[in-house]
Amino acid sequence: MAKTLTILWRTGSMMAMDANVAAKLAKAALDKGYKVRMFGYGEGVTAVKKGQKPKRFPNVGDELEQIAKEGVTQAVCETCFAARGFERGEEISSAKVGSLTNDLFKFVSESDRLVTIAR
Amino acid sequence: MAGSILVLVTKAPYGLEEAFAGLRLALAMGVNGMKTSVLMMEDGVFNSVATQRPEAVKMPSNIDATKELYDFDVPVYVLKEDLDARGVPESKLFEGLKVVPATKARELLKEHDVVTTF
Repeated sequence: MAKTLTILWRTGSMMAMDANVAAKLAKAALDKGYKVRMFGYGEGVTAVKKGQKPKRFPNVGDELEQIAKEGVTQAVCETCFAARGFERGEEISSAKVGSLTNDLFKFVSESDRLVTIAR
Repeated sequence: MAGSILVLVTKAPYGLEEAFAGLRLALAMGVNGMKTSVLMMEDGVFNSVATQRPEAVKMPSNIDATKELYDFDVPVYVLKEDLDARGVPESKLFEGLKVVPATKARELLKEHDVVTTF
């Protein structure tokens, strides 16, 4: 039976590569046969903002959407999302604006491993 | 499948959202019935000080966020060595916290299925 990995990331889309690393780790785990769930918390929610246009850096929103097509489930904290002035519909299509209590709890309880990526 | 989680709080309160975010994550796990524990360590031990005045910086109280965990039987441990290193006597802590030595911290790490750090 495939093992399940949850990646909890808490760094935003810009100024650090953490969210990109999280996406890369998710892809690597997926390729190794893991089921992968990702949850964005705190500043991490900014990585799922739709319409990012970084000029010189990889677009983490696009990266997340790509790995979602390959089977990675994604959700972010709604409270953190709203706190930063984002509204539902401003998230990339692959990410659910969810909650710690429902989505992250479910992810963790279904997982064999939890990796936290933060500063 | 993970049936338990240990939340390490390593950052001081206020100025950074980390400690508060860790306490809220612990609450979310605890309300769902998952075995959840919190360990305040490193600068995270400053979250245990009873005389915090978050209203001075217009921030939510990390004391209140900690005490909410008690309602769901989530134990909150504070690492003795890190209190001592920072000159914080146990008499300065608010009620309900469990001060433990590093040996207990190692046990906690073994006892929980997954660990996350804030």
